[in-house]
Amino acid sequence: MFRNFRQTSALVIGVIALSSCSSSQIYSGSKSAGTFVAIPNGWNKISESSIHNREMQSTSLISRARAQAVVFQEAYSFSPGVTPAEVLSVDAPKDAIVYLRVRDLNGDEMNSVSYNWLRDLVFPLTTWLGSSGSNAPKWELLDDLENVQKGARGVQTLYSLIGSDRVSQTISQTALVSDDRSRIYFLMIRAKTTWYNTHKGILKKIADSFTVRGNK
Amino acid sequence: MSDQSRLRDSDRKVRIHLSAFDRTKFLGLFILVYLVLVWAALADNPILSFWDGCVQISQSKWWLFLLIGIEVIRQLHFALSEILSPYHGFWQRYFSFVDRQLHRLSDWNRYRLSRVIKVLLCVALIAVVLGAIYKETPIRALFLAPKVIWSALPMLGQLLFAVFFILIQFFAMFWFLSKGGIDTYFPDDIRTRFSDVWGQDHVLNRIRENLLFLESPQTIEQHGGYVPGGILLWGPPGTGKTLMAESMAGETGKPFVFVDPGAFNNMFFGVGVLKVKSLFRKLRKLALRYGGVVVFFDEADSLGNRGIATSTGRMNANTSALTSTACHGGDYLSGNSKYLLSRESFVANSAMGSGGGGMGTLQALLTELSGLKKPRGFFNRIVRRALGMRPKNPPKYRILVVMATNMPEALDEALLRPGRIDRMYRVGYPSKAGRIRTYEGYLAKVSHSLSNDEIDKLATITPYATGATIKDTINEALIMAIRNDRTAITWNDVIKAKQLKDLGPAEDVEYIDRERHAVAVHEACHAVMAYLVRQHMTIDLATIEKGSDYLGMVASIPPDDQFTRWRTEYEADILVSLASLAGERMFFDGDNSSGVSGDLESATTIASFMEGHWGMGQTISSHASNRRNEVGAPGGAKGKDDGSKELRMALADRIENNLSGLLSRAEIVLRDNREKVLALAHALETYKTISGDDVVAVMNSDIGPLVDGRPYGISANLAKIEEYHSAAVVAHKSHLRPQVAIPVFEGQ
Repeated sequence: MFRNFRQTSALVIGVIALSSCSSSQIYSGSKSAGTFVAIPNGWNKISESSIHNREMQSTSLISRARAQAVVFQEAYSFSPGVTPAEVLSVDAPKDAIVYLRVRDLNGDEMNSVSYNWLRDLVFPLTTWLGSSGSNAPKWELLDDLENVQKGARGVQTLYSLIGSDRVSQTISQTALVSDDRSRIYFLMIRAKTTWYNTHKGILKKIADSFTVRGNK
Repeated sequence: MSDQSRLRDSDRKVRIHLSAFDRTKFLGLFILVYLVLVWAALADNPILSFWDGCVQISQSKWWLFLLIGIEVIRQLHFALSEILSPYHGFWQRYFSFVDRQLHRLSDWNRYRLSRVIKVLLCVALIAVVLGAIYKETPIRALFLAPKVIWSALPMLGQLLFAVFFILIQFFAMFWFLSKGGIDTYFPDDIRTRFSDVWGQDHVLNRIRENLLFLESPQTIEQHGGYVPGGILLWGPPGTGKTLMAESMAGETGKPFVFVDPGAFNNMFFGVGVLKVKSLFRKLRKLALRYGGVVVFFDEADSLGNRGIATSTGRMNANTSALTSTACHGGDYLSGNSKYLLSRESFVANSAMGSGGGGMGTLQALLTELSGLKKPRGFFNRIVRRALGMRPKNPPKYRILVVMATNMPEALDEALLRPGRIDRMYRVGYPSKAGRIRTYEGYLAKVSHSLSNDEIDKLATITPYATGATIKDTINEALIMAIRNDRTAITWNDVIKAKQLKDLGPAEDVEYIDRERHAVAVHEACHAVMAYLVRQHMTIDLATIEKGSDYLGMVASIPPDDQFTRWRTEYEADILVSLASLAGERMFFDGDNSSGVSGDLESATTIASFMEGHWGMGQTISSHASNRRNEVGAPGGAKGKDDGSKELRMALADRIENNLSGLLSRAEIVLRDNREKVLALAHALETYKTISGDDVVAVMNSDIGPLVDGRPYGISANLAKIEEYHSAAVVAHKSHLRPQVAIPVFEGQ
């Protein structure tokens, strides 16, 4: 009887102890959106609604239409106090920002989807790559890989650039489109180049955790 | 092994130890649920680690830990009760106290309390489920429920419509299936009257009385009686039961409902029940509207029973392969003996089974027959009671149920009990007066030349004629007359029609000479014996024309309507039966044919009943009673098995003794009348079929209707017949044609 009692007690204590622990990392994403990414504990979340509200303030009809088509979006920053405006800005952030977004494509976008189109989602990288350069900012393509996952495929592009704020930032941009071309899954990790170089391992781990279960 | 009893629970100092399984089963279940939830979380999120999944579920499904905690406390309580007697004793006393407090409430209050608690628990469960679905607190979710239900109404409506549609299909199908087989006639729809039913006056008087009670029930009810609600008409087929029902429909001033025999036979379970309910709904409506109704179930045996023996019919079971090519060994017997034989066959051929509508139809009918006095109707039973009012008793439905059957044994006993079927009338064979009236009735419809004496004689020679057979005979006679280019029926037409109906059409088979002679001798033995020893029957006809199931026959009829039978009469019947065996052995040098099988069966059956039932044998006690009471045979052993064997042996021996004695008597009678037998055989060979009067003419050397019997009184002729017989016997032995032709006498 006592042996059973000890075993049972150990089991119960183990389970109760389990409930007092916390997760080793933050799991962002959702099953309905079909996208998941793991963020280290301690990072700060910028809520979906605040980002959405910020985007809806845009005067551009296209931007607002795209905001309406968002299925899921979330952002995390290394340090607190990062605003949604900074998330959506192309200027170099103070600290690293991870921005995850899932959006349905409209008809025109579905017809024009290509790997280059995915590369050019934020900056016209392919244009810059082909031009002799007077109009292009100073930038450098660091890596470009194809990313194929269940029900989705796309490219992961790593590059650094110096924008109008004259600060160099490094961007890891992963964009995948579902096999039925109806939805785009986008993860952008941005940091100042110096910060990126210092915490390359952490940021690479975040990028690698990006998992998509796309529409078929 | 200890002889001490196992301790009662109340006598124990500590609680009985739980097994390991009982101690851990709920914990195991909760942990299993926990792991399943973790597994689900891992399936939902492909990058989630197992540890993080466990942590997430631990935090989100906190209630699982609450349950685990409660179970742990419960197990701790059990464990302490198993170890510490003071602890166990404290809780026992506490639980006893709680029980006492609870039992201060009445059982009904405790039931209501438990019902309230169950309802509250259900509401709480629904609230939790709704809360989980709508991501709200359970209480708020509960208040949202009406809104949710409202928004779900369209879908619920669709579902209800689908259900309703399916139900409609079922209702429609069963409604259609439950119709049919029931015809309603209103007064004056049917022209048949009681005056059209002949020969059953005693039954008609009773039926008239029932109808009178139906028309004016107060004559019996104001004196404290009640109107008989059910009549059973039973008797042989064709005796006019259905015609009586038809005349009832014509006579009564109430609606008359005919129920077809096959109305309750159906393919689907429950349709018969629906039909019964539908029928009685209709009857109640008609009874209220017209002050009464008569319902008639024709061939009520089709309703079946709940397991007692039924039969395929009484009168059709008397043929077997052995007797099919034999002498028609039954027609020379009297009616009682025939009935006896057919009843024996009936019992032997009976099969267990209910037959009939089955599938609850009979039970539904029984319920409706005795359930007429219950309060009925939704408003009456439900609404009035809900308002605190007593349901009104139903009005008196005046429903007269009439059933007709020729197999009353096949009816369920419960159907026949008073209150359902109050009166049972046997519609038997009409009396002679009834037959005369019936013949007169049917003959009045056609042109004929029969005198009153001839009609009287016709009624005499057709003792078991029913209305149906008389009608058929007259019609057959009319066909014969028309075939002979006449329109009026003559006496000969009726007699030929009767023979045709009795014997069936002859097969026009020509026997070979020696076989013709053998058959003629066989039948002549029967006829001579019948003429000499049997006074209670007269010979109707004798024939050696082969029919479908006989080679020849001697048919007899009773000259009077007689209701009691005597030993001497049964002995005469046996003598007539055994005459064929005795005669064949005597005339064919000890040889005999298989054609006597039917005769022996008849003789043995009658002898068995004489010996074992009717007190006409060597012992007095009843074989039936002895078997029922298992007391053994007279002088037999007492043991059940041995006694039964002894009983059979003793009875069989006595029967055999009796039959042997009668066979010897038959041999003596035939030996003494050898010339008469051969003379009658000669007449049969010459004319094939002769009437009873012709038989008498041959026996008395007189002139008959067909046969001139005078040549049979001349010794020279008898010598020629004897010579012809001797040649036929030689031919029989050598399987050759007889060397002597059948003698022909002057005038024949």
